[in-house]
Amino acid sequence: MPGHPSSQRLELFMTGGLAPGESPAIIRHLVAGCSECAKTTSHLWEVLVTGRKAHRPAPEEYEGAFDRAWVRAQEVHELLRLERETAKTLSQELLELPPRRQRLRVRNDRRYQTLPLCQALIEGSKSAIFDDAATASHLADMAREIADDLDTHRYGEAIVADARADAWATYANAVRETSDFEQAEDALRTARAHLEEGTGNPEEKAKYLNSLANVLIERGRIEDSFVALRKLEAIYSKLGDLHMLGRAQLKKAFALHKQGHFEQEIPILNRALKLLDPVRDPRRQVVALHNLVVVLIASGRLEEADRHMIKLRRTHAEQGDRLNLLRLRWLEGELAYAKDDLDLAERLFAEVRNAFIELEIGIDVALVSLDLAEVLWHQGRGQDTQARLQEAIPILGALGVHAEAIAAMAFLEHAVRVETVSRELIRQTAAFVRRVQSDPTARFSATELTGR
Amino acid sequence: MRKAVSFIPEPEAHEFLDNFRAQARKLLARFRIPAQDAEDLLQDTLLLYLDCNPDVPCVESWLQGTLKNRCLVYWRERRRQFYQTMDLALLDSLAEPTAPSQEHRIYLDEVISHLDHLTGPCASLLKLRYQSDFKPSQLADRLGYGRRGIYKILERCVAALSRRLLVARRRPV
Repeated sequence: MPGHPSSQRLELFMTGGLAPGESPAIIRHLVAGCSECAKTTSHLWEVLVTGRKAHRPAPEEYEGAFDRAWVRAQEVHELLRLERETAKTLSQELLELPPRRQRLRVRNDRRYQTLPLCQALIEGSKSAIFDDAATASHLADMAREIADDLDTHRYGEAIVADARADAWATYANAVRETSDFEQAEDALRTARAHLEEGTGNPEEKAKYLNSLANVLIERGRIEDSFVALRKLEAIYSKLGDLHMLGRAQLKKAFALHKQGHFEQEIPILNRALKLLDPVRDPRRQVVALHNLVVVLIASGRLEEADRHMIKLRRTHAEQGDRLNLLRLRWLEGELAYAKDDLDLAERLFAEVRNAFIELEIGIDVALVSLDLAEVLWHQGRGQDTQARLQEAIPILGALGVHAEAIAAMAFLEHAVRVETVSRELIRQTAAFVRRVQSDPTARFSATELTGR
Repeated sequence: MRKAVSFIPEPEAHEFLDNFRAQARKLLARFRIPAQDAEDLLQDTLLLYLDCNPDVPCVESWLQGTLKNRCLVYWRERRRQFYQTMDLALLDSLAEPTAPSQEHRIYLDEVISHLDHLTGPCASLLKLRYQSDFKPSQLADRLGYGRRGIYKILERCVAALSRRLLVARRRPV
C-alpha cells in the first residue's frame, strides 16, 4: 500500500499531537487496512493507550521526582493555608456587592480565583439551600465559575478536578431546588467527568452521589435513586460516618414517600433518627422527626404519631425557627383531623393559612387551604368550603402561584358549588398542586383530576 | 470548610516519608508511569495528604491507595484522550469536502464494513455518529440511552473500533 505514514507521524496521531487537518489522511490509510502500519500501531497501542508495554522505569528514576513533589506539595499546602485565612474576608467582601458585580468580580479579579474561596462558596450554597434556593444557586454558580478557572499548576490537577466536581454537583443540587432539572442533569454530567479526573477520594464521590440521588428522586426515577443511595451508604459505612449515613437514610425515606410507600418509610426514618447527630446538624434531626410523624399519620398509627409529636414540639421549640414552627402547627392540624377533632383541625389550618399569607409563601397557602377545605367539607359545610376556596384564588394569583395550580383550585371550587366534590377530588387537587411545584411543565386536566 | 490542618512533627515526617518513598517508587514502576509524569501524581497525592489530614490508622496504606488510584486514573485519562482524538479524526475524515465523491463513497463503505464487525449496538451507534453526524445527545435520544450514560457508551464503541483499526489481527492458521 503506497504512502505509509512514518512511525513518528503515527505516534503523533495517537498522542493527539498532529496539526488540525493532518489526521484524516492517516485515518483513511488505517481504515483501508494497511497491515504494515498496523504492526506499528499495535505496538503504539500497547505503549501509549493501554500502557501494558510502556517503558518500565527503574525505581531509581523516580528519585528526583519524589523530592520535587514533596517540596512542591508543601509549598502549595502553605499557599492554601494563607489563602484560607483570607477566604472568609474575601467572601464577605464579595457578597456585599450586588449579584451582577459579584459575578464580574470572580470572573475578572484573580484575587478571587482561589480554591479556598471556591470551597467557601460551595459551603455557602449548601447552607442556603434549605431557605433560599435562588441564593444557593447563585453561590454555586460563582463557585463553579471559580473552579473552572482554577490554576491546575498551582494546586495540582487532581485537586482542582475534585473542586470542579464538587462545585458542579453543588450547582446541580441548587438548580434542582429551582426546578431546573435539565440544567441539573447537565451539571451532574460535568461533575461526573471532573470526578473521574480527580483524586478518587470517596468523600468527593459521595458529594456527587448525594446530588445525583436528589435529582433522580425529583425526576421520579426512584429505582435509579436507590442505586445511587446504596453506593452512598457503602461509602459512608466504610468511612464510618454515621451522621452522613443517617442523611442517606433520610433521602431514601423521601424517595419511598414519593412512591407512597409510607409503611416502608417508617423503619428507615427511625434508623435515620438513631444515626443523625443533632449537634452536627440539628435541622436534619427535626426533618427526620417531622417526616416520621407525617408518615405515622398517613399510615393511621396515631398513638405513635402522638408520642413523637411531643418530642417534635420540644425540638422545634429549641430551634425557634418561625417557618418550622408554622409547619409544626400544620402537622398538628393534620393529626387533629386524623383523630377526628375537626374543630381543632379547622382552627389550626386557618391559623397556619393566615400566617403563610402574611409570609407570602403562595404554594403553602394553596396546600393548607386545601386541607382546610377538606375539613370544612367533611363537616358538611359546603358554603364555607366554597367561600374559603373562593377567597384563596385571588391571593394565590397575587403570590405568584403557578397558573395551572390556580386552575385546579378554581375547578375544585366549581365542583363544590355544583356539589360534585368528593374527598378524593380534594386530595387529587392537592397532589396536583404539589406536582406543579416540582414540575412547572405539568398541565391541569379536569379529566385527569376527576379520573373521568 | 475543610478540616483544620495539623502538621506532622519533623522526625515522624521523615520516617513516614522514607517509607512511602520506597513504596511509591515501586508502585509507579509497576504502573509504568513515565518519570516526567510521576512528579504530578506524587504531588497530588502528597498535597491531598497534607490538605485533608486523613483520619486513618495507617497513613502509609492511605498514601499507597491514593497513589495507586492516581496511577489508574492516569492511564484511564490517556485512553480517554486517545478515543476522543480518534472520534474527532473519524468525523473529520468523513466530512472532508474536497475529496472526490466516488473516492469518498468508497471510503465510507470501508468505514461501514469495519463497523459491521462490531457488536450490534456499537455498530448502530457509530453508524449514526459517522454516517449521519449525530451528536451524543441525539444518539441518546434516538437509541434510548440516558443522556448521562451516552458518553461512556460512545467511548466504549470508539474503543472497540480503534482496536479493530489499530491492533494487528493474527492471521488464521
